[in-house]
Amino acid sequence: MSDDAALLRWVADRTAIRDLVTRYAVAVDRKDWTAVRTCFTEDATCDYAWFQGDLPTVLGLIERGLAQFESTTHLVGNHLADVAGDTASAETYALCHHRLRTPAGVADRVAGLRYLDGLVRTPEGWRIRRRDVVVDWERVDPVEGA
Amino acid sequence: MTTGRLADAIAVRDVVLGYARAVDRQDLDAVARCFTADCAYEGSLASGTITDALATLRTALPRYTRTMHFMGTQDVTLDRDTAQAITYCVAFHVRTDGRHVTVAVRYLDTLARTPAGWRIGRRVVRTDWVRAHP
Repeated sequence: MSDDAALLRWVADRTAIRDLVTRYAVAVDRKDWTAVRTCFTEDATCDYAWFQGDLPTVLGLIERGLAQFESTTHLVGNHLADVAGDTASAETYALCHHRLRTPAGVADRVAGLRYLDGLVRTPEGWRIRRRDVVVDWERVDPVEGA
Repeated sequence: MTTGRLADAIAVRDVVLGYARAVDRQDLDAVARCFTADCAYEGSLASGTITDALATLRTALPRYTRTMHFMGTQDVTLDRDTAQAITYCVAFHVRTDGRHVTVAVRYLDTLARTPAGWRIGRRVVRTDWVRAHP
């Protein structure tokens, strides 16, 4: 591969990996579980800090866990990735708001977290094969006027 | 846009995001590697050079159990071997006493292509707001 072709491949890989991680965040807020599933390899394993396991287990727990919230916002920020051939690792910051409405009032559960992803190139494109979630901080913000 | 310019745009963003990763890991050596050795620095940490800012950072970081420099809006303008980057950051700080403090800043960076890769050669930090949470 020429230098220019290698550079173009790197640009394409970095862009595709960023798109993948972003697509996950969009899909999870829309509760589009089919789209969420396609972000991962079938044999993916995850540790979501609050729960962990193989892909079917974790997806089921995410779906059930998020069902209690009126809405969720996974705002994706900092994203860095290292590509090594057909595998890659990525670290992505997310600011997550989970709006909870109870008879006692309305509150936002806010978490600042990082997705640490091990990715692999597949015939269908880049996929997450290993995900670790590190929760850096959490806070419950009361919401007035909602 | 040529492939080289696309790659430069990613590499410039990586340096600014690398700063956030380094400071959030409290890895001051990695912080230093984001800058040229003589980087001019103006902001709340110091008014001088990156060496002054690092000294302040070294004493400031132990006040926090965790920081998260969450970066969003980024405007990068490339010249051949220099670049301008404006980066918005909402920095979440968890103090050792458990209190949360949120600070919104803009990093106004001038970067230079060096033999070791892109480095920040001049940084101005503007603080837009600070909020201490109850």
